[in-house]
Amino acid sequence: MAKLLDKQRYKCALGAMQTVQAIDRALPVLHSGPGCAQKLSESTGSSGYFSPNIFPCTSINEKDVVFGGVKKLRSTIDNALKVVDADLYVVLTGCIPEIVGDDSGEVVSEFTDAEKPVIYAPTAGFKGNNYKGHEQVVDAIIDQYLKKSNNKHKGLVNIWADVPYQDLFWLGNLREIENLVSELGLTPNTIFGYKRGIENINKIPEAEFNLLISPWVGLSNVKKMEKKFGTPYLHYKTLPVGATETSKFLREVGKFAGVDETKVEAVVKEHEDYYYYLIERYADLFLENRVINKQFTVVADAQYTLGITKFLVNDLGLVPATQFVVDDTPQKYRDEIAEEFKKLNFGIEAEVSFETDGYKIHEEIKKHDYHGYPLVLGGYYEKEVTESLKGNFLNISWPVQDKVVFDRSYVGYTGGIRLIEDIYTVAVQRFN
Amino acid sequence: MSYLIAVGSSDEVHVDLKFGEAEKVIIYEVEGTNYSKKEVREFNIGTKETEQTCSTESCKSCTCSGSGQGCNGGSDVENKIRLIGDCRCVLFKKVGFQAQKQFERKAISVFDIECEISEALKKITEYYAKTDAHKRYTL
Ligand code: SF4
Repeated sequence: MAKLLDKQRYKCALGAMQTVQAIDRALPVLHSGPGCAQKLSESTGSSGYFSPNIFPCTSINEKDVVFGGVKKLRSTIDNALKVVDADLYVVLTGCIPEIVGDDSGEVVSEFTDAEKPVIYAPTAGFKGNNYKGHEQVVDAIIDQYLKKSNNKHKGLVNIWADVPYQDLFWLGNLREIENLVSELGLTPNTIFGYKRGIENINKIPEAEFNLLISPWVGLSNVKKMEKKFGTPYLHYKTLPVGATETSKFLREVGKFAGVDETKVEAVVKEHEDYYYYLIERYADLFLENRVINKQFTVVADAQYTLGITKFLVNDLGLVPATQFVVDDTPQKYRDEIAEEFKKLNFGIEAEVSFETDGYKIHEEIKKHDYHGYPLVLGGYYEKEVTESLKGNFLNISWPVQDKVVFDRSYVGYTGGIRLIEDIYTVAVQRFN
Repeated sequence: MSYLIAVGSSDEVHVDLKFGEAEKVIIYEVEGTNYSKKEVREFNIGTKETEQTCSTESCKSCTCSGSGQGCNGGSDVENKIRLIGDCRCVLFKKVGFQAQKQFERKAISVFDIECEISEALKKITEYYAKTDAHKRYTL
């Protein structure tokens, strides 16, 4: 029987056009119906040099379903190369051409000798969501564009983390991780955001190792790179938010990269000193027990739910109610991720539910006894239900509708402080 | 249920006429995936009567902008479409944007293609047979 999914938190795989868009001067070329890009492009902050409104699209219709759309795809790529000045052209296929069986890969291979690189990622909606689509795009870059390099660059680290745009804080987060990694004396290499782009993509095979910060998204990519380029990877599952996790993160990266321990400890100390100086100054606020809620719930993708749960327990000493992971995490990763929720300080374990249905999540939240008002960090969908329970709500995951984020970040020591500020700003408003 | 397909062809072998230039269409009747030629319909465009209507102020192509009635395209286009308004789809080498919109309004599918009529009809009838039965269609 058909299943209804209420308040879904992701888009179809073609939503990976946002992953492409996040690469400076990379252009998505869509082989899809005209409505797809329209539907997938509503996020704020997505205008710029290329915005979804100008993405070349084959806009296939019934005729192409019956007679095939490859001719149109060929001419669309051809003309995109002529009229749009980009560094990388990424053809993304939607459902229709993939269902009827257009051989898009074959058409794209005809452009091997084009002046600019043209690659192709199958991102039909029925193949999965935009987290999978993101992986497909990175896979396409590895498989079709990059070549193995014997020229390894000592200390160069490729960093892979959030799914751009799906995560509102992607830009700030990546920059902050870069900063932290540089402080260890390593050279970070990311491909998303301002002034990264094709030059940084070209450096990928030269890296000493790949650093993946994500519970599961991107794992298949770094494994592929290990095979193809011989690049080892460090899989750090938790997004480091706040001092506890960030110090752990720095130590683990330092160890993996062979950075001198005293250097790592010096970096950690400097940050922690400032971090705890700030915490100390606001200790009165933290000790004022009527301000903050006793129990909290996070409703987000695996990376945020895990990262923030660890932060709120380890750094703020709050107690977790059920945590919800809403990104449709593939079954094979779930047990391992659930294990991570048990590794909290003070012997605390959090229960995690991999649930994509908003209705069920809300029913669970309503049923749970938070021993007072709940603190809910989630998508905009959770605002109403939290308000009905008189709880405190912070919009941190997709969909985000009540805040504008340019390059803010919740990562690292600074990110932890920002998150505390945001949570307490909401909390103190109740009393003022 | 049988349905009709209109084809623009000069030799009754190829789809080779543009909608605008066609003076007649061949109508095929389809039952399942079997089709047969039913008749030829003449468009009768450019007759005295049409020309006269067109040159008067009531011509819809002249008054459509701002008339609040919606654009019906030129009278020629309208008359031609009316003549094949009972077809499920039409096959021409090319169909102008205006005319396409008019066909869309009548929920008539437009296939602007250049190939043999037999090839086109085979593909289209198979496509309709499958989608009508809610079956998956692949090329
Ligand atoms: S699910 Fe398919 S048809 Fe819908 S937007 Fe995604 S690619 Fe397009």
